Amino acid sequence: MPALMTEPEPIRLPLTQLKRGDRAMVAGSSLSDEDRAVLHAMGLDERCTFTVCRASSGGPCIIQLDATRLGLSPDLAKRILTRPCDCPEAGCRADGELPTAQ
Amino acid sequence: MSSGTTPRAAPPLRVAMVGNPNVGKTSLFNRLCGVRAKTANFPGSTVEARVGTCAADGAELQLVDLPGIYAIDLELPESKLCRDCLGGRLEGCQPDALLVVIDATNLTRGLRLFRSVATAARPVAVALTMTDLARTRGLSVDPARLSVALGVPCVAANGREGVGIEPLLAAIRGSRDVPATVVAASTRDAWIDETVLAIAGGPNSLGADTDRLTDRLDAAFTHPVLGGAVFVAAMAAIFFAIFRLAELPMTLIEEGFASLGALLSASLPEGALTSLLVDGIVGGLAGTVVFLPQICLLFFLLALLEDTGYLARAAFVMDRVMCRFGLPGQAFVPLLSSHACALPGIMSTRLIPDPKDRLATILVAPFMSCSARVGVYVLLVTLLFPDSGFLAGLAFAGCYALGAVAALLTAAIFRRTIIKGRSRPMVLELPPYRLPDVRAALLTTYDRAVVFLKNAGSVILAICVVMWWISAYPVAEAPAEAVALEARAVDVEASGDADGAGELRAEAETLAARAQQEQSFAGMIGGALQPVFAPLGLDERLTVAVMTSFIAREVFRSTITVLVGQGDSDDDAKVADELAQATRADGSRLFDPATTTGLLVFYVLAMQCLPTLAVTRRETGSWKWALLQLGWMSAVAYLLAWLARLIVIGLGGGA
Repeated sequence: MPALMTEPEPIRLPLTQLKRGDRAMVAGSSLSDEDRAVLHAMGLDERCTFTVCRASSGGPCIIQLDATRLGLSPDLAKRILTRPCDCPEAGCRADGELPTAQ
Repeated sequence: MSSGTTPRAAPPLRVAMVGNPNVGKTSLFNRLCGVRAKTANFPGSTVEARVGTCAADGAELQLVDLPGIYAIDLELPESKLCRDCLGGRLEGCQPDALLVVIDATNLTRGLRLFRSVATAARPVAVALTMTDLARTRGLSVDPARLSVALGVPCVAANGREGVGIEPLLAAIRGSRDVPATVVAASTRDAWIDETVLAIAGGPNSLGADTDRLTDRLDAAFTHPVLGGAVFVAAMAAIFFAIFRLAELPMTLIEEGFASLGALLSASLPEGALTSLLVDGIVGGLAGTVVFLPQICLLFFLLALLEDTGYLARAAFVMDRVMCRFGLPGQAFVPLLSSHACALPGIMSTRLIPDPKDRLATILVAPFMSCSARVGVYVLLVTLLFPDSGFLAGLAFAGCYALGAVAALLTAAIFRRTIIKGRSRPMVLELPPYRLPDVRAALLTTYDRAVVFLKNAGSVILAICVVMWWISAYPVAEAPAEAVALEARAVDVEASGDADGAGELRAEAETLAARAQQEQSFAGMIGGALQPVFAPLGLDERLTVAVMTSFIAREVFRSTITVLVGQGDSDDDAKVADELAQATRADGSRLFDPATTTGLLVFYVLAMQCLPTLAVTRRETGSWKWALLQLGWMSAVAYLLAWLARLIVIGLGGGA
């Protein structure tokens, strides 16, 4: 009988642990609903991929999302979990489908 | 045939401008309205909108520049203001139509906002901005196709360069209700992406590649060390410019008011009305309006710096330090500005988006040592260390440090008690780096100057009149000694000694002024409160000087020199020498080291500036916060002054 194959858990990293040039998508957060709503309105939600322009555990994180640059304080960034991906471009998906993690 | 009645002009079409932050909405507003605009504050709201008028095809349009929002349904003050405006719940601000401003390089976000306001049941037009930037990124966003997709007029426009303004006005006049089919379609999740795909080739073509130069500048400006150094240099340059460049216009304003006062004194008969005009109104306004050049320069330079895109990065640098005290990074600029004058410092807290952060910053800003305190510091530090320039300099610097520490600790206490609650997380859109728009900066400066002058001409003027009245009434009889001196002056003058007569008259005037100070309502209040200030070592004269300087700190020097009988002088060293000799009724030194130290601490920390209280009330929308500021600062000042005096007495400096 073949061994039961299970999908490996996708890697989830705090935004502060990404490196400059990494592309990633939001994979969860420990933010309040209010904070999540603000980030969603600014364009940062589970449907989007972004490019890291500056990541640091001590300083602000800067990400590029479509044509917008967002700066996030380290306290906020460390509460955003991301899934690194190798999408060709950062941006929102039309159908809301999440790109497959590589 | 005329009906005999004049037809009433149709009311102007009122158009609310809605858009995301940094999409060029205010540039369009400034281009359309220019100086025909004013800032409008609304009851219960800490955010403001600007209202202006412009002409379109001979008809008048009234534009309302609402604050930039990311979504209309967020629980943020700016979103709430927009909701109230669009819902017709804002008094005097019910729009007839909407102008939605969309950034061509960020269609997704713009369309999300369009979708949320499309249901407002008002005619809509769309202005598409940043099309030049979109083109440089290889995008072609066609306004005609967007217009078809949205079912409302849409034109490309650029407020900074004045491009597309006439077509925009025509589009506003032709604004239409969003078709029901579009409203229905826009409720689907995929509508935004489909629309973007149809008019701009899809979201993935929206220039997501990062810009190497911007990356490098961001890395430098947000670096813990380099970013801090750049920030210190930028702020030092601004403050150097404010102090240097404002010097001449401030002198001219002072001299202008002095000449006006002299002219009124010379041309009006002596009496209460002339005194009210010269000492109350002209003198009071001079003390406030003199700061106008500093305010204009500060707002002009900050507007330029903000427009370059740098200030958003600097906020992150300072956030690391300020957040430990419950303040956001954006609070640094207002606190630094308060070193020039707390009035512009408090006004510039509008840069802070979170209302609680903003309130905390307003409440602590007056702790920073403003330029009006400098004269008092110089006098008291010279009295403390007459023979050591080094120690005097150290004490002077210590005053600035004490004020800053008190501000930060107060902020930390307030954010854990009366302004409890989490701040909005520090997430900012970082606008692209660009050359600043001087015209927009000038309009911002003009707007702030008008707000300041209106405040000076209303609340502050009323305060000045009240303070004049309690200092001028009841009118004291000239003391017998002053009358005798005046008589001697007449004799001396008759003998040909004009200089001697002048000296006698000056002495007589000082005695008369002292009698007036002591017998006025202000003096009576000072006398009654002397027991309260006795633990600080203040006698009746010092108490009167402290109480009168609640009008403005700089009054301390002139009051105390008059009260101890020296007469006011511009020479700091001479005044300090004379005050150092002053004694109490028991013969001990009036300005002993302990009392002087306590007094210095009191002046660093006390809220002694009525115009600042008026501006706090205006910016917080409530006297409650202004009175809390006054009470807290006075209590902290009193307590620490008392402690400082006790410590110096303990060290042997009590006499």
